[in-house]
Amino acid sequence: MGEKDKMTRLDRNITEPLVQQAKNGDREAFSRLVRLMMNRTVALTYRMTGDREAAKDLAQDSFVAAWQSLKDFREDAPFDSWLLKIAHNKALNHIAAAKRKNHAQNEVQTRAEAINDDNLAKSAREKLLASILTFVNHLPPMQKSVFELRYYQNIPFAEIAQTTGKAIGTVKTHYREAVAKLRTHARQEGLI
Amino acid sequence: MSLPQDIKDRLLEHFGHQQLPADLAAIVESNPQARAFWDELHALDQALPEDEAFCLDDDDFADMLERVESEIDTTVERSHLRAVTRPWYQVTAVAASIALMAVAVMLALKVQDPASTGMHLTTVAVEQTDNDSISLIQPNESMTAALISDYASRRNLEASAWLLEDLTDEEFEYLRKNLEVGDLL
Repeated sequence: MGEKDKMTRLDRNITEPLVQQAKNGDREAFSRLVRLMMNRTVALTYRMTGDREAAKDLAQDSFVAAWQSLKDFREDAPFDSWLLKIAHNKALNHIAAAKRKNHAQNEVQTRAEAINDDNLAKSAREKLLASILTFVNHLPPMQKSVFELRYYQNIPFAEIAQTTGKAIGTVKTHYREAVAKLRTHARQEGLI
Repeated sequence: MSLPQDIKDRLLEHFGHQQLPADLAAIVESNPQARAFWDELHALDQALPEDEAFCLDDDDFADMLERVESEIDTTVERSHLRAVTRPWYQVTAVAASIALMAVAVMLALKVQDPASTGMHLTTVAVEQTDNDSISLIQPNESMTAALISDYASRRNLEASAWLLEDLTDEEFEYLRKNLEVGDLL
């Protein structure tokens, strides 16, 4: 396990000078950070919302928010973790707002159906993606967040605990529960 | 005999990434149930869509980059605008505050020392006589004008001339009575 391609963490030796330059108003340095983090940020918001367009909007908002509050970034955590926390919070707010409007369930369902429809002529692998995406989207928010940050973003439990403000034991419990549910779902679907 | 829950939990926590710690790896090697459970998690890991499946294609990436740059440009312009306009408001507010404080201090001093306003006038209107006694000078018309002029110039009114010109006889008489040195003292 572990040989599969996943998003690698950014090297702090690369990000720290860029962050320093960006803090001094260097737009090009920040632009490089955006390029380095673009795919990870969109992937996170996409998996959390299940909506590609919303994911792009949320990623854009996250970068702008990061630029605006860069001076407050104390660098006690890596830049990628800090940025993903912003994106994660924005995605959670988006989900909460959608639920308040009583559209969340329909939206996820519609999106999943749209993906499924699009994929009718596509590969089984893409259908699997849609199935997993739908399932992960139905996990409770904290389990979904922890799974996203740990599995896809490769962030250590301790950093997730710092990011989410939860105890490390609680974070591990959320991860275990998310994986256990995913395993059950995969078995039911005959995926494993 | 089923796999102990604590072993399951530890294996679940390692799902997706790291190599197992030596003690856990040894358990997986030696315990068939642990091996089966770990193999199933491995299969699940392989079945999950890779992160690249959620990534942007080149066109979307370029579009997103442009959107972010444009939004940050707008933010920077707004902050520059604030930087330009803020001092104007700040200076105005500070100037107004200082003016108000100055007026308040002047009023307070005036209340504390009612004679202070007339001090200069009194000095002008007091004459030392030969026998070392002090007598008060009764102000005449020219002296009243001088006093008003003095009062106005001390307060930057620069209006003594027109002030006097516009006075009616009645007003002038009133001023003369009230500028009487004895009353001021």
